[in-house]
Amino acid sequence: MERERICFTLNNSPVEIHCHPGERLVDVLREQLDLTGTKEGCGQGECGACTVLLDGRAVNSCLVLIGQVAERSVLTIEGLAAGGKLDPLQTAFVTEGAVQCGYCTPGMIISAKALLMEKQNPTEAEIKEAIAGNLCRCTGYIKIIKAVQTAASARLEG
Amino acid sequence: MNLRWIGKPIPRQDAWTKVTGEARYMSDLSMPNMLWGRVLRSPHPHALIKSLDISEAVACPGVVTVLTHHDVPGLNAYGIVVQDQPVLCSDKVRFVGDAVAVLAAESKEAAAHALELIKVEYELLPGVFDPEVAMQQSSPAIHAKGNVLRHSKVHHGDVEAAFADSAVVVEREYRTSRPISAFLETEGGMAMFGADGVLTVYCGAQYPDRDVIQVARALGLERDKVRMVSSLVGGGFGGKDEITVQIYLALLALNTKRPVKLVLSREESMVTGWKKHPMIVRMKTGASIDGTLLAHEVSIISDTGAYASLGGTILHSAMEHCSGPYRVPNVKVEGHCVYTNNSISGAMRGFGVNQVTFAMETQMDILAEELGLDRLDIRLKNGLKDGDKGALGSLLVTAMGPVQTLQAAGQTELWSQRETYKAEPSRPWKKRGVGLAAAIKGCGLGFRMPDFGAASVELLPSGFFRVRVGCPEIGQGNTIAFAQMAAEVLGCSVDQVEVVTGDTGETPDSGTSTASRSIYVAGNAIIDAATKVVELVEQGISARLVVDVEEVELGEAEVRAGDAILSYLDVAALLLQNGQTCYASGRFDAPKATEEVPSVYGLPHLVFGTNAHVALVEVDTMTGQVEVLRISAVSDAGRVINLQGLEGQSEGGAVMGMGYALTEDIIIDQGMVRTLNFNNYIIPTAMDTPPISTTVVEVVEKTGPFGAKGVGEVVCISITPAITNAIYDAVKVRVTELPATIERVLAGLQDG
Amino acid sequence: MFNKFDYVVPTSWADACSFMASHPTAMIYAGGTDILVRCREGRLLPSHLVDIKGLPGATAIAQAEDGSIVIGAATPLNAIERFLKGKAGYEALVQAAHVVGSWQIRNRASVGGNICNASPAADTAPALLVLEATLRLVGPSDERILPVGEFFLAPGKTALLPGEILRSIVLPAPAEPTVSIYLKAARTKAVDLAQVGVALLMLPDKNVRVALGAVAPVPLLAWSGRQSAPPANWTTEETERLVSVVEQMVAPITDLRATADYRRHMVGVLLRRAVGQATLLHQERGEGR
Repeated sequence: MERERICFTLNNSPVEIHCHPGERLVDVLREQLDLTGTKEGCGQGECGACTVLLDGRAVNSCLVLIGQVAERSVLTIEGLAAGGKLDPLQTAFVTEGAVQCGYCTPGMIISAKALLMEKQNPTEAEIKEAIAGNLCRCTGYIKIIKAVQTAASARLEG
Repeated sequence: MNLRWIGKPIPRQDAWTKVTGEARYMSDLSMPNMLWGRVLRSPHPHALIKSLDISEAVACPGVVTVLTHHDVPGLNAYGIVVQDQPVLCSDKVRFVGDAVAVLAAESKEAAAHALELIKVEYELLPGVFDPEVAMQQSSPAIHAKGNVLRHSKVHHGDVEAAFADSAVVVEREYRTSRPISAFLETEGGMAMFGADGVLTVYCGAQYPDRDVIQVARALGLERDKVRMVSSLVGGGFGGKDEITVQIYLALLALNTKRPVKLVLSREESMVTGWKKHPMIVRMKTGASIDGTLLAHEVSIISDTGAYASLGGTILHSAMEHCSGPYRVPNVKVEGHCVYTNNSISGAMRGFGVNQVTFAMETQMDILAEELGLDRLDIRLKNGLKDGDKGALGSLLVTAMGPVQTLQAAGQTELWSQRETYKAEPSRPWKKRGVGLAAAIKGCGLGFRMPDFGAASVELLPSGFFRVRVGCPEIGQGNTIAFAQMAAEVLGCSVDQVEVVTGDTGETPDSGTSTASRSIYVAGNAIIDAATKVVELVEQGISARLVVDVEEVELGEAEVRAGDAILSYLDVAALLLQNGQTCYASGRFDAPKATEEVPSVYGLPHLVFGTNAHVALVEVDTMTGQVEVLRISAVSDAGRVINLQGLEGQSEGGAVMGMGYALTEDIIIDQGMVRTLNFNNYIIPTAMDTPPISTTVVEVVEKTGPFGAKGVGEVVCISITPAITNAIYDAVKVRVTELPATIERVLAGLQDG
Repeated sequence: MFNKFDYVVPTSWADACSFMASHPTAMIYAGGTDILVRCREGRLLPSHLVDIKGLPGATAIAQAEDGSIVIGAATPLNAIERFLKGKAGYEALVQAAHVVGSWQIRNRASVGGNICNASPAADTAPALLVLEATLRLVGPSDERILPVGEFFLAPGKTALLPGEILRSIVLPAPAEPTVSIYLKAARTKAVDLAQVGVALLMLPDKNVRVALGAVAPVPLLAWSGRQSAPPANWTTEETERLVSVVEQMVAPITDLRATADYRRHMVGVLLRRAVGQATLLHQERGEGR
């Protein structure tokens, strides 16, 4: 198992790491790059806590090998607040009470981000489907759905 | 009472770092030079350990230490009530997942590899998986003292005579499933041994001060040489109340003198995590012709699995709540809590009350049907009030909410317009039904256990106030409620208050974040401490600025002292630089009932929260699929401290209880856990979640902080029978076994 | 957790095939959503994962001049859904692609992976069977075209020869107005494997095809033949005859997701519903003409 140099764009900045290309993206993020906002909840793509954007699409980083990330672009929760300004989703999650233990929150917000990038004004059914791969054990999802709606209208108005 | 902050839906302070990913959970921590720990676990449900050979693992490159029972310096056992669970098994394993060895290595890969090199020879013993079989004398003994952990009986009134007087008697057997907390953050953390000789264990948990006792006892250390840091926690729900991996972390750090990290995989968590007790509940309930409950005879057999943990206490909690929120004058209840080789059962949101409330609320619907009564009326007629006796005969003297809560449930649109909601199913082959149920749940630890809150409040040099409370923030939002209560007393804005929880090096022992208690006990302690700090500040300013104490008033952003206006920063400078103490500790001892229920240790509870649920379901009569379309929750939490937080608890509790009703079950086959991850352990997703509305009924509890009671558990209890009762309303299939899976419902449809 | 394998990026299909031929324990890696799960569980222990996603055409989807649709084997399910949505006749594949896992999974999971695992429960398999898809298999020295019906041999076993790789899937252009439907039974609305999957395709000329998932050792084309009435005039008797024929074909097992009895029961339920939906669609389209 040789370590290789792998270059990709992480949160809008170029990074270069040395690792085995068969490592999981979630491990590289958490253990090599100390970006622990991306969580691991199940290790098999069922819970969505490790969701990141890969070239703008939501993926489970526990099921992506770092070798496949070379020359591509990854956005994690830490990169969402561009220039220190919170994304409307982040603000809405706080104000709507969509955060409890918060362990699902980063993945949830990233999935919602992917949705809002594709659909400016999603229906409730579209929101539910977009986050159906993100399990939350605390909130019952109601306030999460509301937060996504609030963020969508804030973007439309803003 | 004119309240400034209490009851307001103020967003929680800790949410800001959680939405940016900055928040560090204990399983996020890492240190330079850190090792990775792993636990070797038994593959057999019941076996003797004949030999244990770690030599190859020790010699494996990258492995730093491999520890077995020989290396546990103190008591090789843990358990909140009785210590019957080995830290590392020495002679025998009692469930699949029992810990046999722990190791630490330079990398995760080396640790995983070394695990495979430990050689354990087992001699298989016959396993005991059925609790009713386990109770028999002839069954193989799982523990030397036998398989019955607890056997308790209570009888008050004259049950036989009351059954004879009853117009109708309903007798049914109910079987409940084995759900697991399934917090998103699995059990894990990091430990390190400091230069000061203090071992610090960072591990998400619900009661760090008790974890210190258990860790110190196992490691043979003085308690002041162990520090537990428990907040933040990525979900608890009871499953992080008992020890999870704290002792393994501590053992490895102590032996290697290096930081060690250990995080369970989801599969390990599913196999070794604490589950809700499956219970067999047999109920015989008699009522008069007008629906007045007369007699109730209950037998509970509870499967605690391989070790005790809180099994006995949970059995007693189930017994205490066995008539749900209803008054029955004659009750006979017998409970057995039994060891088996089925994994381990322990605390999980509801603490034995979910199981018996599911049974009781089904009984109520059957009674209503047999007597031709309205389902709400029969409940209202029997709802517990202040001054009534509870199921075990103890007098209820605090604010009881069942009647008010049920009345509010009856007024919800979903209940009052239920025929309209049911009228038009989405497909011709589907049918709709509406169900109703209510629950009470005791807050706090009951009669015997010390049940206290402790907190400190201090003015910091920055002009902020710091509140310290031991009860960890496990996601429920107690920290924002603590900040609101402190600000209410102090007079300052909530933003002016910061709350620290769950660190035995920093926070006073305030008991456990369980039993719906942290708001109640810690809130009262905060009020005590904050009141003292207000006095200290007022007196200090009065002395320094020479104004009457009456003329000093703490306001939202500033303090008025006669004609002078000071910022809090000014106040801090004025007082602290002159050596004035602006720190106070507060304490609250939860009131207890005047007498214990005879023959069941630790009961009764004194304060109860109430909840009611109305649920609309649609059942596919061809497939058995049940869809919950709408839920109305009614919550009596006493005075609401934070409306947003209460709604969050209500919505999350309803969805957890919905999972309990329909899908969640850890399936164990001959001791082997078969539901190892979320692919087969099915918790509700956003797509399964219906609209949920929450109505608040404030039956104010005079001993509670600002009148508050606990709410964390009661929100998840009555939803389960509300759903199963709705299934019956839709398709006349009576659910007596949880979960009401698609196939069980279809089988009921085909039988009917 | 599982990086005991080497990660290999071939530069051409030929390169990938010769690597596979010379490394019998290597496996093809595309979306990774299934293979990595099984590696982590220790159910698969590949020596190498050969990433084909970057190979020419691997993730391309396009309509050929003859109207057929060519889908690169590594194309993610979401891309397939986006491309085929609204194209008459392909409904079953759109619906099947849509009900695999979560949105995140569908952004990665490939159609090739879905069928090369040869899971009896693969959602896209019944849809491809009724659409009469053909598979382009490339080997170290030559390539061949195989009807998808000949691809599944046993649970986990396909007709791929050593060194052979599924390169693309071809969907022939359906005669108008074809209608197809895929219905799935699962324990929950989102993110579950199929208890039963039923795909139905109705051609304008009274020909009907039915394929089933999760009720036999392999995805099964349970019926292909003419009915006595065209779709728009379909009768209950017609449906029941079809159901009884199809029900003869199943040999389900009991597992954690469902009992064999439930699976058997659900074949009829889903097939009747699929017929209902398909005839309705046919009528709607007929009226729209």
